[in-house]
Amino acid sequence: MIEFKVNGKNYSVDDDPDTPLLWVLRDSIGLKGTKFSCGRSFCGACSIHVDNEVVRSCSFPVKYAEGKSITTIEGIGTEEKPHVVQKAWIEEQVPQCGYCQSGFIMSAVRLLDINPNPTDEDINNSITNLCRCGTYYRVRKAIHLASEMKKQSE
Amino acid sequence: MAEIRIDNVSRRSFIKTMGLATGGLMLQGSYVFAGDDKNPQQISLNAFIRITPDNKVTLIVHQAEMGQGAQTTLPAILADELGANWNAVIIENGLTDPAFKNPKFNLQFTGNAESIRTFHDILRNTAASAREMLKQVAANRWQVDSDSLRAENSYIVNQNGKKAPFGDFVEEAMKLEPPKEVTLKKPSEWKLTGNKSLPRVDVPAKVNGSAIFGIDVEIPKMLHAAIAMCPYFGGSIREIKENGVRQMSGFVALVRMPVVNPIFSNPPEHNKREGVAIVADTYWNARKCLDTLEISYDKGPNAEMDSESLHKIYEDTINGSTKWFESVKEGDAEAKIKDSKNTIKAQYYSAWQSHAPMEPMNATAHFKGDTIEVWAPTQGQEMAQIVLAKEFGIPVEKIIVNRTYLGGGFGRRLLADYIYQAVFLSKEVGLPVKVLWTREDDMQHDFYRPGTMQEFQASLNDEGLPEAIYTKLVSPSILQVVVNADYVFEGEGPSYPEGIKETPYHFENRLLHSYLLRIPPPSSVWRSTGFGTNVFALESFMDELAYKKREDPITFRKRYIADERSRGVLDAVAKASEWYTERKDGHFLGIALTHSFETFAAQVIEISIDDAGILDIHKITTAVDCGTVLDPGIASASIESGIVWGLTAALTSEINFKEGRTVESNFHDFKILGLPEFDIDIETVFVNSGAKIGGVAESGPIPVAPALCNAIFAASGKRYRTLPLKNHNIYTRYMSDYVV
Ligand code: FES
Ligand code: FES
Repeated sequence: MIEFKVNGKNYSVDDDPDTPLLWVLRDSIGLKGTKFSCGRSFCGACSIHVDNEVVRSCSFPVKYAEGKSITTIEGIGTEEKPHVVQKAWIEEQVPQCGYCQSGFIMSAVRLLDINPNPTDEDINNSITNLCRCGTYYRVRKAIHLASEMKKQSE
Repeated sequence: MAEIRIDNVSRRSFIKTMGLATGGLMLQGSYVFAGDDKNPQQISLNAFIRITPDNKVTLIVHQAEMGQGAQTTLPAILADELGANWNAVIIENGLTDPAFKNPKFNLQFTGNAESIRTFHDILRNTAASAREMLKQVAANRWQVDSDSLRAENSYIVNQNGKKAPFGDFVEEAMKLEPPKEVTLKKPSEWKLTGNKSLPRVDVPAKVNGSAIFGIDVEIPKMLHAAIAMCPYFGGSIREIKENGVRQMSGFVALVRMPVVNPIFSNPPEHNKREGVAIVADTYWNARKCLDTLEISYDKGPNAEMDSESLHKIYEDTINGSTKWFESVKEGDAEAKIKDSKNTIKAQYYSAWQSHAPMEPMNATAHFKGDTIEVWAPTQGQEMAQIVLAKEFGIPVEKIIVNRTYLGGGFGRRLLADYIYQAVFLSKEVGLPVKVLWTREDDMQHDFYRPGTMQEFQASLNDEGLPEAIYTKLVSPSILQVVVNADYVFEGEGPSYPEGIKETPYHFENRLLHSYLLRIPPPSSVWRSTGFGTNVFALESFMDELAYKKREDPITFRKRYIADERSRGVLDAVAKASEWYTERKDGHFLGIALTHSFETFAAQVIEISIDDAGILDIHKITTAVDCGTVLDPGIASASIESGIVWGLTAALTSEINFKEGRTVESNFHDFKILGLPEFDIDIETVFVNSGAKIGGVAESGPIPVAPALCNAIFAASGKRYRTLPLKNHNIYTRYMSDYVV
């Protein structure tokens, strides 16, 4: 049994310890907002937070999650109470197909936590996710907007 | 905000996974499967509109939502014409229905930028009929003239302000004959569409992880499959060493798939993709089992094929004494060119490309003996039915294809190869099966945008102006696999001469020769269809001609434009990009003009480039005339998206072949541009000429490559005629970090 927290709730799973956390989250726990795309850490579609660090869950064996606290897209906000990053995403109408967006949002949330006022250069250096629909332009705008919104709410 | 219903998961599994019962509340993320519980209370006025006596208005979206905004704009068109209350409508994904067929193709599919340009009128007429029927019932009941009534916010309102909900009239309206003719609302009466940006209805679910894509489908008792397909075009599986796989945890079945997609081959012997699948209790167990197998392959008849040998076929065809198909002949270009002392000739080549949508191919199917049910992220619901009917001998009416959200389509998801696999495996194991491809499966078993080669030749008169243009096009088919026909195309491949057959220009003497190449790698349509590569060649050549004449590229193009709408977008883009204004030091501009999908677009790219080939893109300005822009927010997003798509193919991505198989396998070698590249200014202006509505989603990428190469020429004097540009050592500032 491997035990950890996901979005504040305790879980213990009996998956093979080498199973990528992505599949444990999606299939054993049923949180499908985290997506599979490249399976090899290239694209960021599967990004989540493990103890506040962004982790590409397709390449993170579940055994390393033991005792950790995990946050997925489902854990950062809800439709009624969206996270400021989600609000900015809605405001800028970022998603197209939407498949990569959970990963982008999780990366952006972390970026703004450690750097509430990122420059374009900071964004370039920290958001390395891929989006085949090409929403990058709006992602950048939405990160700046979220940073503004965050400041105003403080 | 509208409620969205998606026919992708059953009500049971919805309750199981979301644990949410919303009562009558109009909440997003409530998913019901349209195929089950046919609510007797629900009354269909037609295939697109259902209204219940309690005044719930359901609008059915018959086109796939793959990022282009169909799920917002299509029902908004209906709601606008119907007079429905947008904030309370229920939006539901449609199954298949004769009413959903694209009349031009007699087929229900999503692609070719058809959703709006083809269905705008159909949806408006449909909604107007429903509206008039409701009004008629109200008029009879209230003893007034139907023309004195209005439909507003899902109410019928009379002149004195008396009103009653649609729902009060719907049962009687059902019994009426639909009116033969209806008067459509004038654009000035539109409230939801026509230069208004609506918040997209799919966005909230896409930012909180609740949007259901194909990969997310859960069906009770469902098993999971991981597959391995022979990577060699025309090759086969020689041997499978099982290595004790049957004892592994979760193992259910090992299934040989004799020929995975027999009817999609082009020609058939080139693309037998023999495969093997492991079916297991979970996806990861299936993958582990699959990885345990040792599979060896026979490379088959194409083992020697590689990118170089393929390229040589293109070159030999374009330069040799080929049996050309005469696609266009106007005037006598051949003679003019032969007789001229002043000619100019250039050859262009665009590399092979993969669709690589972020969601890998997947499908879930339940083969139930005499019926089949499928849940899939598909652009081709009806194509899937046709394929499955043929392959499994079950009539189309007994095949339900539920459509989920698509994690990108780009043309790849018109095909049903992966759906076929899910059904095949479900039939084998007798339970529902979800097949999920890896990224490697997806990239190595794509139906690629083929490499295409074009040659342009012109004779110039004494003033240095072209009098005759002779074009050659060499391309494999991009539609053979899509039409799913039993015959093999001959002569001109449909769609592949787009952009050079009909062009925005008029030249008196013009000859277009095309040649349909038959080579092993499977090819199909890819966002921008034939236009993408052909317009790269044409618009590069137009620039070469302008330079030869030493004339401003816009002025030069205007000499030959065949339609005033071209002038409109050229003027608009010149203005917005400040084309005629002195640039900052080292900044240069390039332009391209396109007429595609009934839309005119002109694009200007502003760049600087250093001696090492490091490219900075500063601004991309696009002027679009799609007649009337229905939703400028969604349309601008589409253009932005297209720019990224076009730039990726122009600069960095390409598919190569070696030893009869695809080289690239994932995003480390099939490079797509990332966020850092898009620290640029993107401006899109819409020229609302009022002409018939054209498509926008595919117009974005088309001018990008030529506008970029024309800008690079302006900056450096170097003309690049083959793509991607990384092969000429041209990189964006960030690409240079990661492209080797
Ligand atoms: S799926 Fe994990 S990084 Fe791409
Ligand atoms: S929105 Fe489609 S891949 Fe990013």
